[in-house]
Amino acid sequence: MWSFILRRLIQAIPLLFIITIISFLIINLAPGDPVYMFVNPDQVSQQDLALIRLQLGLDKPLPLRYAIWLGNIMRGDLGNSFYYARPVSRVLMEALPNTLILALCATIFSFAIAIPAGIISAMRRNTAFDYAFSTVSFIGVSLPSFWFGLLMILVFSLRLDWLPTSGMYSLSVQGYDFWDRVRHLVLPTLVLGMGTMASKMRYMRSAMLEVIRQDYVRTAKAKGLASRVVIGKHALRNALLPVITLLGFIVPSLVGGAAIVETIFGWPGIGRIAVQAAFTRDYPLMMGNLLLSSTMVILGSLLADVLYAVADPRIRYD
Amino acid sequence: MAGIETNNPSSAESLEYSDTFGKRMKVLWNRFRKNAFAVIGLCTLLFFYGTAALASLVAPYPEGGDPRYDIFLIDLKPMHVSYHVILHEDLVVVVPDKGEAFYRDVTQKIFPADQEFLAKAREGGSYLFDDEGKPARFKPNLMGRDELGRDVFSRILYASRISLTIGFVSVGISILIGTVWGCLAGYYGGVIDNIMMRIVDAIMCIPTFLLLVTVMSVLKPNIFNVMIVLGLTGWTGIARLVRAEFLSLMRRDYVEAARGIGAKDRRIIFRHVLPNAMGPIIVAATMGVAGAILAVLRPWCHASSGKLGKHAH
Repeated sequence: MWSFILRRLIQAIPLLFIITIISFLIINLAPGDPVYMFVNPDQVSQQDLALIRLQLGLDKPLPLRYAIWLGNIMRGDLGNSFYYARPVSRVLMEALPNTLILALCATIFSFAIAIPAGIISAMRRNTAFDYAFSTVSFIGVSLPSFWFGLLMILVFSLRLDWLPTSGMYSLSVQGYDFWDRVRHLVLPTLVLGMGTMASKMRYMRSAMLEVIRQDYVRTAKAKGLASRVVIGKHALRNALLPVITLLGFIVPSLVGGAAIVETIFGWPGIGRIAVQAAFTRDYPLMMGNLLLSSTMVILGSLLADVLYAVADPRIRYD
Repeated sequence: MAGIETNNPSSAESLEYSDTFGKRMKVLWNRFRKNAFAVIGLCTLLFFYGTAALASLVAPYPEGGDPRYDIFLIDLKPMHVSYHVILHEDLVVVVPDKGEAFYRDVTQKIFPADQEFLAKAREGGSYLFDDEGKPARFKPNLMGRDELGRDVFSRILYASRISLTIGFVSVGISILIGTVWGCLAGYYGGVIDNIMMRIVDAIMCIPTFLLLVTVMSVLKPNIFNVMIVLGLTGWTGIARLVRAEFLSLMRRDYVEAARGIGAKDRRIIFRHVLPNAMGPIIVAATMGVAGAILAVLRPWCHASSGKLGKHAH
């Protein structure tokens, strides 16, 4: 298994190389020009435009620009953001912990509800519990987060005044106050978690339904094992594959940020930065963000592959 | 959705032994019919697709609003920007704001102010008036009117055509590619699996929104291109799910048995293994339609700072 992991990590390097070339092309060929972020397009001279292009390094041909970017990456330099006029690495590193904490909370929240709910609704299929949870989770996935988030703010912040409307901490609080942070986390976690809960629950439920009608589950039941053991030890292990795949998707989303939720709740995370970078055509920031998320996609895929073999020893990679 | 998974031994047997396509469909339909939720779901779907398809008959107003009806949405609040309403003795002068004039076809409207108009003007708020300055009696607006005076209900009906088409077609493409890709990677395994799944990783990393913008700028920006781009980039998740199922299912005895009696690869994949991997595919398809509709909505929402109801193109 270790040699498999090592092999995959080595493969990641050429893969990242290919991904960055393709994405560099897409990012640079997309319509829009970052220079117009600095000037008024109606009253700017050609010399000024050329000067800005020279300063941003946009005067060189595309392949050369990629080569320069790659060379800088090798030396650990992600370049300077056009918009923030600061090193990309610093812009990303400031937002990364915020995004990480929100995404982790939302993931744990949605898994903690979706997995048990999926298992129970598979075991008690077509009962009131099954219907109730299916309905709630489908409502969760149907509500667009921009609307649901605003509704939550309206109810819990404005009407009931239980929770803060936005931000990560109260400005009035001096230093680090744990409970203040938690209070700010509740609503974004709820909105972000609700959106992804339904699919997790449905995958768990359908995989469980597939498994509990297998002979070995019937055998385990017949030999008098407690239903908790039958479900937890015999059935669950075989129903985990789709959930592990989902876990692989979650790894990149931990650093990708959730643009809409972050915008609604004024959360200083990576999602907002990524959207800002896309709209202002901030090439270095976009490439830095892409490198980060691509690495996580590859790691997530590797993690899923390793966990498949752990959950199901029949799976071998040779 | 839930009805297909039914595990009723007797109907499962009858499905097994009914060899003609028509008989199989009949058994499926009988099973489907017994599940109330499945039937409710089907009816809901048919309702939404039906109203979208017949939007021109159902919608009370034409697509994009009717200039005859939306000209005289007059906002009597003084700070409102779209119209300046000047009350002068017994005359009402309505001067559209500069920005609005280009599509409203009127630059200035003068008509005598009657008592009703004056009373409403003192109350403030928006009112609809007809050509004569009389309070208008038009067809009802089920969901009100938008800021340009167009009927929201009609616009939603027309816009749902685009959303439902994009959701259905792009997910259809995704499911097709993802399933076949996942089957092949999981079935053949080894180097082929490694190469195919690394391609999946790479496609997953490509920024879809920018790809969409780039493709729209090169090709014509229409919903077919949106559907194709979403379909061609959205299949990676399904490929991973299907391939994971295959990795496990390939080691089962029945695959060995099928191979033993000389079944061809294609038969083993699509007749023996794939039916056992349908669970995640069905979930991905149902979730995917909703996801694709929201994915189209999302960038436009963001660009127009949360204004819903704009047509997707």
